[in-house]
Amino acid sequence: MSNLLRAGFVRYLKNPLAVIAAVASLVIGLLGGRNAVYTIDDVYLIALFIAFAAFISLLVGREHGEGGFRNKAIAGYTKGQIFFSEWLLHTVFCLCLLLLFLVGFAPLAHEVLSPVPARMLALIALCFVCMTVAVVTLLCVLSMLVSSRAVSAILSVLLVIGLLFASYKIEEALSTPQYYYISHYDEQNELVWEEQKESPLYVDGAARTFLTHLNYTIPLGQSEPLIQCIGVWNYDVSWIDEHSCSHLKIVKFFPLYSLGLTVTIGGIGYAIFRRRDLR
Amino acid sequence: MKNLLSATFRRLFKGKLFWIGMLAMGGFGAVATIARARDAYILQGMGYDTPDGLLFIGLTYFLITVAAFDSLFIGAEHADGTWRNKLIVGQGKVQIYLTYLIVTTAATLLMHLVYIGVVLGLSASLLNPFLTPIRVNVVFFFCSLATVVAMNALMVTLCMLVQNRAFVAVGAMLLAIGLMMGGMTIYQMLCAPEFLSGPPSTVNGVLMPSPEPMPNPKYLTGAKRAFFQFLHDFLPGGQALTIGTTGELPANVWRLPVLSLSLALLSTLGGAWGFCRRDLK
Repeated sequence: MSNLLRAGFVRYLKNPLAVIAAVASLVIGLLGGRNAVYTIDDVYLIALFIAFAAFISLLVGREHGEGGFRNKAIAGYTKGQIFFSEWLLHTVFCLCLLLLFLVGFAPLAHEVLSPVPARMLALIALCFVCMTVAVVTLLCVLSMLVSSRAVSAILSVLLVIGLLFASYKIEEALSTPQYYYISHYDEQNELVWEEQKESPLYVDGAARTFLTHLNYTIPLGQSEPLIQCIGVWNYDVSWIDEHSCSHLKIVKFFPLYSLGLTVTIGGIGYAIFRRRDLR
Repeated sequence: MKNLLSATFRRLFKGKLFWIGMLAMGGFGAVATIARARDAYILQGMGYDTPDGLLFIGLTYFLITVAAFDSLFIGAEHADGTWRNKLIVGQGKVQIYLTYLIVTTAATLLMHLVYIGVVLGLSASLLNPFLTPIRVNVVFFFCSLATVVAMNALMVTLCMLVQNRAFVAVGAMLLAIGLMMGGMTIYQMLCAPEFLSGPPSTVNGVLMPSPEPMPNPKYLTGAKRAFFQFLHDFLPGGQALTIGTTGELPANVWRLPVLSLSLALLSTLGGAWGFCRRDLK
């Protein structure tokens, strides 16, 4: 297996795509750091994940197209070794790209990051690392299972956009307030009374629990609470609401959610990949 | 050219890709309308019972559909060496380019029409009639057709000039996302308020009045504002936002189709010129 890893590592390092992805990650980090006010804008994180999607789908697609997987199988490697080595290579590469992103981001966003306690900052960094591993697993499994390079590239980018929309929709549903107020005015346009009504869109009970866990499981669903965890140390204390504080308590469990997703998707992907014929 | 067109149309209708695109746009229209009907049922009397704002919202995401469809449909021709075969049998490069432009334009227009048809059909039975005047919807409908033509022309140019199918797919998706994000960013810049006033603050528990409004340094003025307004009207991402979200006719609405068709013409001229200079595999 070490031969597989070494050969893959050299092949990927020689590929100009790796250089392009590295430059793109650094530029996205610089832009994100330059425009950071109070907290990070998650649009830069999404741009980074789209760069991962393009990078992984093109490289894995090349292996499919050139018969690299078949050659490895002929040389005596098991499908499990091929699958695991490919996943490990992409995970390490994408973590390096995340590091480049942070190298570009951190110095420029110093003002935003400095009020955050070091322990919390380390925890947030760990969450981002685990989130990256989960995203890479999703993208890697998709690219390993779809043999057409172009189709897998499009599906990978669509997957990132789909995860983004899913997390936005869930966050929107969860942040709907339980009550809304209708103000009644008299003829002089003075407030007479305010009527409190329960919002029919408020999600409660088992549905709320399910959506909350689903949101934390979707990698891009974690990004909003993590960004808020940076934001709460930069806002005026009076601005911090109960919703934002709740994220501070739950954030330490995010790596477990990411790990769970990684193991589940990786396991399903491996089970399907094992049954496939390699071209 | 007639033979090329009929062969390419036949391939379009026989392939799965076109029907997946039609299904995706139809499904998107159905989901959007049913979600609105659900909101209308839950939030009764709160203005969610009409299909206003729904008819053209699909246009804002349509760039992604166009990018995926064009890159896979045209990219397959690259990979199969079909273009070279067509050249060998005596067809010109300009004819080949125009054939793909015409066929993909027809396909993407049909997908857009399916979205609109599904929204109109479902909302007729699930929702109340439009509050937006018919004139506004009709004008926006024709503008949206021009925008689709411009989106498609831009993607066809990219797909015809890059010969690697996978790189075309990634490039087209990135271009689509870039145009969408660019459109939103420019729109936000144009919508920035001229004056800013900070939030009211409390001192020792006493609510203090809001500070005097200050001029917003990010407010665009003069030539800079005119330039960004032009970009917003010229690029498909900005046009899609104007048509999909504003709900009322902007001043000089005629600029939208004129600029769309200009973009389509420019990109087609550039694309055809570049395509004629290429060696085909």
